[in-house]
Amino acid sequence: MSDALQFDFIIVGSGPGGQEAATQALRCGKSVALIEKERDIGGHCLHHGTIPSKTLRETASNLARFTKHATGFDFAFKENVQVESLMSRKDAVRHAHVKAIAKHIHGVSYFRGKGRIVDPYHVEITDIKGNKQVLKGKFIIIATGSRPRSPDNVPVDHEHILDSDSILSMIYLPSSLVVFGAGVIACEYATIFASLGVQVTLVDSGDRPLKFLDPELTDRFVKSFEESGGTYLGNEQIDKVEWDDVAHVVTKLKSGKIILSQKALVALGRVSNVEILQPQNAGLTLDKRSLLVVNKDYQTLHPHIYAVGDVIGFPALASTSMEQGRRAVCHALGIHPGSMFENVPMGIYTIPEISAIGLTEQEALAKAGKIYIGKTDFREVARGEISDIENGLLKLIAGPDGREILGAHIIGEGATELIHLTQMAILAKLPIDVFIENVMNFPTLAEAYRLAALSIRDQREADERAAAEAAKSTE
Amino acid sequence: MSLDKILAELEKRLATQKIELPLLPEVAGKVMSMTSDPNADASHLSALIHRDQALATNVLKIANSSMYGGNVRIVSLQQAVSRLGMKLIREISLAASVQNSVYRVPGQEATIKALWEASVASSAFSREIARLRRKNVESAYVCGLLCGIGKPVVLKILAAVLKDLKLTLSLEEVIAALDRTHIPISLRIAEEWKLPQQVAETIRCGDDFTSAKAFEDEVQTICLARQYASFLLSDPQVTKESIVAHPVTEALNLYPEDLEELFARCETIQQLIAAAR
Repeated sequence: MSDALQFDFIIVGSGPGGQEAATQALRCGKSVALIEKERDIGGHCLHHGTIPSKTLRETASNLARFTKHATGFDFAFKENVQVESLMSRKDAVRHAHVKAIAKHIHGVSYFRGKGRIVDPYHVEITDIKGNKQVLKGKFIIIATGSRPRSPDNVPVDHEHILDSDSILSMIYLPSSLVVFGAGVIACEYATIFASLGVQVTLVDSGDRPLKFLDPELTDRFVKSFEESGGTYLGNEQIDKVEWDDVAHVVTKLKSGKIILSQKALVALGRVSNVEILQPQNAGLTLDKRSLLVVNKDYQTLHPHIYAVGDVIGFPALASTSMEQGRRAVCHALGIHPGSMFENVPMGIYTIPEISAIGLTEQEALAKAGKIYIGKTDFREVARGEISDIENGLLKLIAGPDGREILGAHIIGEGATELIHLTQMAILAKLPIDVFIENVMNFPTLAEAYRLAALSIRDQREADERAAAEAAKSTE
Repeated sequence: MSLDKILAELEKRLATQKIELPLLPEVAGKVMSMTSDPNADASHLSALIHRDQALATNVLKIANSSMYGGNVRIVSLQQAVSRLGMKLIREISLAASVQNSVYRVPGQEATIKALWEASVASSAFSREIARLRRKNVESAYVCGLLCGIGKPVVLKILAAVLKDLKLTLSLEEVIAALDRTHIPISLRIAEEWKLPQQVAETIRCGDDFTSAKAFEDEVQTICLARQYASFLLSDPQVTKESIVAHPVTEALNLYPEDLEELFARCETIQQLIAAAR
C-alpha cells in the first residue's frame, strides 16, 4: 500500500454529512478524497428520500389546500393518475441540487466506487468496473448513510409490499395503503398519501406516533391524520403480512385484527450502510443496532476516524448530519466549531408540518422543576384564520424565571420555518419577552409567538405578584 | 444495397400508408386498469379470460408448464388462479392477450416467435433489475413487455415490401430493420392504448438511454434488460463481456457482483420463455 494516494481527509459517502465535511475541509485548505458508491453525488436523501418525497408532499399539500377551499368545484383525480405525474418537479429539483453540491465541493478528488476500510489509515475503492485502488488518509470520515430495514416477518417485494425506496416508483396511486411504523418516514408518507385520497392505515407498536415529540403535538397530528381520512392503530403488533396472490396485502395483527389493502409500506426504521465498508478491519465497533459507536465529537475508537449522519443513529436528519460533518472536520483540525449544537431544530414534513426545538414539556419539568408554558392555537391569529389552518399549535416553554426559552413545539403549515425564530432566540439567549416587545409582520403566523409569549408573561407576572404579596404578608 | 432499398421503401410506406393499429386487447386493457381498480378481483379476470378461448387455453397451458405446474394437472381457470395466484395470472393474461392480438403475422412465424421471446425476456429481466435496485417492479415489467409493441405491425408491412420487391432478408436482418423502424408505430400504439407514460418514453429512447427526458430509470432498466434478453436468446452480438462493458450498467450503478446476480437468473427466465411459447 506504499503507492496509495494520500489525502488529508478521506470521506466515504456524499450525502449531507459527507458533503458538509468535504466543504469544511476544503475551506481549511485540506486535500479531500470523496468516495460515493452511487452514480451521482448527494446520497440517499437527494435521490431516493427527502427530496423526491418532498416534491410529492408539495403536490399533496397543495391538493389538500385546494380541495378544502374548492367549494363550487367538483374536484377529482383523473382515472389512473400516475404517481410520477404528481412529482413532476422531482428531477428538476434533483438536478439543480446535484449541480449546487458539485459547486460546493469543487476541488475534492471524487471517486465513484465502494469504499472498504483496509486498516485504520487505508481505504480501498472498488469502482463500478471492479478496479481497485487504495487511498491513505490522515483522517477518515464515515458518512455512508442508511437504507430501509426489512423486518423478517414482512416480505418486501417492491411490488405490493414496498419500502420507502420503492414506494415512489409505483405507477398508480393505490386505493388503500397500510403503513407499518410510526417514525418520521412512516408518518410523512401516511399523511401524504392520505391527502392524495388514499385510504391509509398507520399501524404502530407504540401508543402514539412520533414518540420523541411533545404529546400535545402528536395528539393533534393523529387528529389531523384521521380528519383527512386516515386510521391510526396504536399498540398493535404485526403477526403476519402477505400478498394474498389475489388482490390484497393481508395484514394480520396479534390483536386478531385483519387489514386488507392494495399496497403496504414498510417504514420500520433504517439500517446503517456499514457492511461494505467493513469497519471491523480497523477494529471499529458497532452497537446492537449496527450503528457505529462515536463520542460527542463523532470520533470512533480511533481518534482520527470519525462517523457522522445516519450511521451513528438518532436523530438521523439531513440537517443534523450536515452539522455533524462540519463539526467532525473542525474537531479533527482543532478549530472551534462555533455556538451550541445541542439545540438543533427537528423538522417533520407530515401534512401538517411539525417542528420542535429544545426541551419538551416533560423534559423541561424534569430538568427545571417549574416551567411556564404559552400556547397559541393558529386559529387565534389572523393568518391562521385566513389560511383556514386547522390543528395548528405553537407551544412555547420557558424556564422557572418565566423568561429563559427552553423549547418550542409547533404543528401546522409553516412549522419548519417558524421554528427558526425560537432557535435564534435560544442561541442569542433572548428572553421570551423579545416576542412581545418587537414588531412582526401582520398578518403572519409568527404572531403566534407573541400570543404565546404574552401568556407566559401574564403567568409570570401573576406569580411575581403572588410572591410579592406572600413576602409582604410574611413581613 | 438491397437492405437499404428495403428500408427506404419500408420507411416510405410507414410514412404514407394508412396503418391499421391493433386494438388494445380487452383483457390487457382490464389488466392495465386493474392496478388502480379497488374492486378488481380474480373473478372479474377469470370471467374475461373465459370469454377469450385462445387466451384461456394459453393461460392453462402456462399454468401446467414445467415452471409453474405442480403434481395435479390444472383443468380450470379457478384452479389456475388458486395455484398461480392472481398476480401471476394477471401477468400471464397481459402477456398472452398481447401475444394473441398483436404477435400474429401469417407467414412470419419465425420472426414473431423471436420478437415475442425477446419481449418476454426483456420484461422478466426488467423486473429482476428493478428488484435488485429496490425499485418498483410493476413499472419495469410493463415497460419491458411493451417497449417493442409496434414491431409486429411493422413486420406486416415489411413482409409486403419484401414480397413486392421480390427480395428476402435473413431473420437477423429483419429484426435489425424492425429495431430501426418500429418506434413511431410503437409510440402510436402506446398513445392509442393509453399505456403509462413510462412505456412511451422507453419506446422513444430505445437503446439510446442517454436521450431520456423523463423516466430515466425505466429507460435505463429496459435498455439493460434488452441486452440480457439478447444474451439469453443467443444473439451473437451480445456477450457477457459486452454487457459488463455496456455504459448503461454504469448509469444504473450496477457493480460486477450485481451483474453476476442477473446472469444467475438466466435459467429461470429461460423457463419462463419456454412457458410463454
